Amino acid sequence: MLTHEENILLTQVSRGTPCGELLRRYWHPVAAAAELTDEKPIRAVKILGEELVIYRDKAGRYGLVGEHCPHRLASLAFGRVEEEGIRCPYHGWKFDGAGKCLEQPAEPPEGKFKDRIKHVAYPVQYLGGLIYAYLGPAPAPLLPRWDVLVWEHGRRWIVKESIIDCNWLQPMENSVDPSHLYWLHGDAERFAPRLKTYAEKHEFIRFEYGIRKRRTTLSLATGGESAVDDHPLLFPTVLRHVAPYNEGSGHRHNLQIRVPVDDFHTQVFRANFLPMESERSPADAPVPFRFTPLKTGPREYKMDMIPAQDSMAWETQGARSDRTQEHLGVGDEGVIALRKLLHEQIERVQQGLEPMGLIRDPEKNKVIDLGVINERIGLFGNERSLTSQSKAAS
Amino acid sequence: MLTKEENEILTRVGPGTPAGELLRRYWFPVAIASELTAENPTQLVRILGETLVLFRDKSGRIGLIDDRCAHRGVSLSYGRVEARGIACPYHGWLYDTQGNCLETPAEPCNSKFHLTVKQKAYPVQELVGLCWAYLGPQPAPLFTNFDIWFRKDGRRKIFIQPQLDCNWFQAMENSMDPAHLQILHQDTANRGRSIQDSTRGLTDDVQEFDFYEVAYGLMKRRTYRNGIVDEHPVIFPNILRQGNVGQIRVPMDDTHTKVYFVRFFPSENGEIIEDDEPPVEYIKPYKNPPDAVHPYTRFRMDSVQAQDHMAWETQGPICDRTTERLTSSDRGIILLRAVMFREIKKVQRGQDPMGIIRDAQNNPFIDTHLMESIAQIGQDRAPRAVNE
Repeated sequence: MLTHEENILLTQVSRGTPCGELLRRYWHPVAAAAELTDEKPIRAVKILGEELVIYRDKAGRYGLVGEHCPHRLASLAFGRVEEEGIRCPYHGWKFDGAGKCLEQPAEPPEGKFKDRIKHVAYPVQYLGGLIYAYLGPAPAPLLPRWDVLVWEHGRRWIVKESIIDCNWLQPMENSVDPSHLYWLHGDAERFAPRLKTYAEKHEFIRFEYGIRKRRTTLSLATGGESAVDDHPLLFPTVLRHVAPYNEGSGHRHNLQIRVPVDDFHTQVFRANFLPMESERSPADAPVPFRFTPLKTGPREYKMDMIPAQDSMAWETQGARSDRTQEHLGVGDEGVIALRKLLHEQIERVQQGLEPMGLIRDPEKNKVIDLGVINERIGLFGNERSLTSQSKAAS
Repeated sequence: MLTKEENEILTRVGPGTPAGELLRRYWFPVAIASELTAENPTQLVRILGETLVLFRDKSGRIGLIDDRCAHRGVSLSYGRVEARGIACPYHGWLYDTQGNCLETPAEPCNSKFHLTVKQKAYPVQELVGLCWAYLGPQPAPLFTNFDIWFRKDGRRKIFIQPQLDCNWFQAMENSMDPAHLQILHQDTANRGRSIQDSTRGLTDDVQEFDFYEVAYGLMKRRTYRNGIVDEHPVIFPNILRQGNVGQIRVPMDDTHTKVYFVRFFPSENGEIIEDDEPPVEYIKPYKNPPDAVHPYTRFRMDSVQAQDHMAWETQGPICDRTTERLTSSDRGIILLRAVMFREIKKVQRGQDPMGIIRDAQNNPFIDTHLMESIAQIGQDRAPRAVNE
């Protein structure tokens, strides 16, 4: 249970708020690259409470600038892209991706007015089918090359879900909450038998990039040897997950990226990767994209989909869950650990220090292999020794 | 005209508010009993500013408890019911109909943690095909022995009106406002007569209005110049009996109201009907778009109820009574407000308010002269011709 003040501290995302400043130290996806086409090269996006537009100019460069033209605030989302930048639909002011005003057609040609205009602009980078943005102070850290985004030995695709009407921290708490699996998702066939024999041990282990959620399902529940799964939470907004694909014929690795839109809305992107013998996904190959709605109407969730079950739980907790009213038990150890970590990292930023997990050494950023483990589906990660240790311990 | 403070006192319905505490002394319908089935055993209920879940467990018991799981706030309306109660969809915390937490499955086997958790729970009873709830302090009073609920010589039918997007008290004031009938409803309630002057409507049919208190509420009486007398009682605080209908206005919160109509159809020759299971009909929206409020929606004006919804909603989500201009024909409204303030004070002093009955031996049948009203439904209110 938190005080009202703590609850606000851990959830606000706007510029100038303690948590908003922490979140601005990390890269966040703002769109799937496939969402920007020649026919529709501009999209309005809202992230961390800021209204922006992402676009691809005719030279193929991406830009992320303030949605409202600094002239008289019309939306650039209805503008036009050109060789170098984006032009306002109202009076034709033109900007490049650094926010520099290149033209003001209705001003005298010799005028220097445009040189005094600096539009809001943020650096963007493409990786693995997503366009990432950095809204924090320079110099930006490196964009983390998570395994799912850079692996080439299989098929990659991006899913964007309908916006979730609640604060970002609710999905993140869910990511360090192993026990909900059997109840919220318990009607899924492969979980149902375990409801009867719930016997698990949970560990929440801090590591360089966040918290590893390690679940040991004890032999009482497996009926055989105990089994470990280990899914890292990549601080602050990502869950690295793996699940069986196509009835167990493969493993679908993914990143579930929960981007705070504002205090009460969250945009989830999923980057999926399926290792395959027969397909390859080089870094420059186009990445397929799909939009998945989770609801059919207000309070009408597609309850046969696991992401919709999750979004039901998160949304019904409230637009910002009132954590002064909750009752946490020992099964909520991970939730408590995450809040503590978040609190510490907010304080680091307030003290002028770097928060955890920022990467500035290119050597470390070739491929960040997160070594997920899910023994029940036959996946033992890269860290074989770690797996056998925890087996011996259990 | 009221002060801003008086208007607040009269209209706020949440826990701890003066009118909210008064309303919590009465039973309110919260759902259609037949809709709580094995396939759909849970329903979300919004009442008096509280969000609750109504459920029927697999032992057949009905419960009404806080919808927000005590653990981390997920909606129990998506939960699974079982023999002992309802389990939260998120981590399986199991609650019985009394709000006791029976299990927290992800806690260690020997954990006593569940014993520290108590979910808000309210009693529920069935009557006339509806589930009724009581949200006040124990012990709960009895159901009022009101003819339209308890007569056995007929059948009933339930109509669910479109959600009323305004404060409940606007509908109740309308029930003590006899003059609007001859104006607002002149085109639909004229019984075939043509209106000569739409400004006066049917106003000149009426001789006088009268208002008085009765044991269970208030009476509004219209005396017509042709001798007919209409008496439509308000069963305090939230029910109007008009014609063969009990109109029940249930405050969902300060600015939304659920309206149930229970119509009574007397059997021919007074036959007793034992198994009265009222059918249910949902009324189509009166406005388009149906989920918007004035001035962003437009009402149909072709039925009495649509006209009433227009009047109540366009007064505002909570009518601003600091700027109104009441006149002599608004005496009934003034009386109703005075009774409300008086009854609120009674509750604040720890007394039972109007109409609360606790003694089963002394719960007299309330005859609202239903048959007279039913007989008058088609009668002409026109003044008789002078030469008659």
